[in-house]
Amino acid sequence: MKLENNIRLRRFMKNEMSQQELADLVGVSRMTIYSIEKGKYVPSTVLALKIAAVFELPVEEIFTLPQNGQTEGEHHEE
Amino acid sequence: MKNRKALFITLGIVSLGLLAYCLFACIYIQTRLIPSLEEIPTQIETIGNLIIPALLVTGIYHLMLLFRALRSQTGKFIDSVYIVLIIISGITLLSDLTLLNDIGKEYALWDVGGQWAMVYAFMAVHVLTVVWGLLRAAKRQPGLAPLKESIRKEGMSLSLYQIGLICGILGILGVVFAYSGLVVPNRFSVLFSILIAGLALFPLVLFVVYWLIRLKNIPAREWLDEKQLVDTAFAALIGFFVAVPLYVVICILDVIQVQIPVSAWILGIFFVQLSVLSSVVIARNR
Repeated sequence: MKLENNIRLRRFMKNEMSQQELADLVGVSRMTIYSIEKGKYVPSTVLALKIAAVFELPVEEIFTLPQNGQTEGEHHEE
Repeated sequence: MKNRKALFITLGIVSLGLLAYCLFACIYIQTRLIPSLEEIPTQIETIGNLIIPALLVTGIYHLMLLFRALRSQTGKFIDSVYIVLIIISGITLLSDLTLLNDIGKEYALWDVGGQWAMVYAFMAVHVLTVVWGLLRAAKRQPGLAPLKESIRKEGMSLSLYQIGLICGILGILGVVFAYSGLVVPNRFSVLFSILIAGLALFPLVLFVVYWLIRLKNIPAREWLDEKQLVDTAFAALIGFFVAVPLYVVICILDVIQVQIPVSAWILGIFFVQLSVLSSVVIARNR
């Protein structure tokens, strides 16, 4: 399952917030924020909403499905 | 702060001097304590008795090293190796006393060469620990700001798995060593493997206790964050899949009448699983 995000950009737009600062604000480890940014880990709904709340944006402006609209392992029957 | 560092380094140098005394005392006693001696001469007894306070001071220094190491954790692997070394060295300080006591009782009747070898091996571990502690203390900048709680919490979680990996590998090596017949005769393998396993596991148990104490005011559901929980669950699954073929192999060996001692395979599989679980979590956090 893949989920794209622009957290890195949003952090820089918000006074160059560090990963650690964001992690502290949403109550996770810095490694978790790093993994989400790199697309290695898909956050839970609660965490995604918390991150969106920090940037005062709707969650879909930070997290988006990959452009082809398909997630890994999902098959569309023709 | 500077005074504390100076005190720390001074105690380290004193400990190193005391360990040097212990080493020379052991060499001296070993050369003089021959089976034909009916009674231990007073001179040797005095030299031997002085080892006790020397090891006690070294033990206090080990405690200081441990508290200092635990306070400054950032999740670096080398820090975890250092913590495991301090704990094992600290525990084996007690073993030194037991071994020397046994040597004093058994030298006239039994071959105590194995005990002496263990004493010297443990001495090497103590010296390595104290020297490493001194080098770290000398390198450390005075007046560094204490680590932020969240950074320390993350460092501790990662250290937990790093220590798990180190203890797992030590445990596997220990079990193999215990049943190899190189150190103790085969009839003592079970007891020796259990002792080695306990020694290998002790740093992890101690660290888990420390970790739980640090987290005592935090609800259990917040001990690990969601990714850490996912990593742990995934690693446990991999550990399970690794263990299944090992159980199958043991069953096949049993069917074809190749007996593996129960303590060997139980401890072996346990340490393999611990190593796999820890290494998978570490790999997912690189």
